[in-house]
Amino acid sequence: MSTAQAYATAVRAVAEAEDALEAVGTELGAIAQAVASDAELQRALSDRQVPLERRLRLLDAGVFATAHPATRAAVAMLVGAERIGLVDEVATALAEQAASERDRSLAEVRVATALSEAQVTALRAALEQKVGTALELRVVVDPSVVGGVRARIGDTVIDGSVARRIAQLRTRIGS
Amino acid sequence: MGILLAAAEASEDATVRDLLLPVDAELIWGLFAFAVLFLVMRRLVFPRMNTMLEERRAAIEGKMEEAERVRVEMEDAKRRFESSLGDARGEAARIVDEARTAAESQRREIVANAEAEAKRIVERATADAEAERARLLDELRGQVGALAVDLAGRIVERELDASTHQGLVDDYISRLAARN
Repeated sequence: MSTAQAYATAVRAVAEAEDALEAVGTELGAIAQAVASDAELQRALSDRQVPLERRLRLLDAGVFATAHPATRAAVAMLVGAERIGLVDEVATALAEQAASERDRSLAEVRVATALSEAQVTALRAALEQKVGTALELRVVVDPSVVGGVRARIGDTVIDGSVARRIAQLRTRIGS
Repeated sequence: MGILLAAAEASEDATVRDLLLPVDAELIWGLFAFAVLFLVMRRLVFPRMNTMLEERRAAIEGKMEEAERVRVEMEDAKRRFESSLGDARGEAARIVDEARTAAESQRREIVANAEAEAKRIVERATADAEAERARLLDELRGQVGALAVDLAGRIVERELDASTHQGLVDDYISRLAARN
């Protein structure tokens, strides 16, 4: 079990105790995106020169303010353990564990801009047809994708992103 | 006086003759003794003398033969010496020729090796220069390509509007569905 999976197990235990597994999963995913896209916030949460109390005070504002107490507790645990850099992996691991409990696999879908409900539904259907199992989608808005979609189901990656095409172009020109 | 002188002269002639001619008995004994001595010598001395002379002659002849043999041997040895001297001179000339040939061969080999080494160095330098040129060209091409791609990526990022994003996602979904 990886470190992220261990933390995810702990977060799931808290979330299940609070009967808020779905909410915690969704919110932790949103927080992971917010932290990943905001270098300033990430630095503020992980700066060891800043006392932990001051860093934890940041969880009372912004995206954290409206989150479920269990979600904030999970983030506080990661900040206290100096593991806030793992928040995205923990969110993914938590989503995988939640999906596994429902006999589903997790498809982590990274896109450059948010998807509409119709697109999420169509994408889930296409991916389920592709892999042959029921899926739960975790949509992550990731600007590094540039455009298109990059889906990861377990060890399988179906990359249709513009970033991949640019990387291929770079490789072809470089070789 | 004259008669006395003549008588004296006659007496002197008779004395001289008596002094010069032996008496008969002495002559007979003398002849006898001579004959005895001759017989003794012929019987005892002459054979020994002949034997001795024969031996001496044989010894001299043997020594002469020995001298001849030695002379022949010396001449033979001289011929052999001259022959071996000629051989030695021939051998020396051959050795000198061989040494000269070997030296020439070695000189040619050294020159050939030096030329080959020089050629190798030039070829290696040319190949290195060519490889370095190719590497620099590749590197430049890669850098230009990377710059172009980065620029293209930035333009694409900036130019992609919401509808294009939606189109890309829809395209992904349709491609995924088409592959199934």
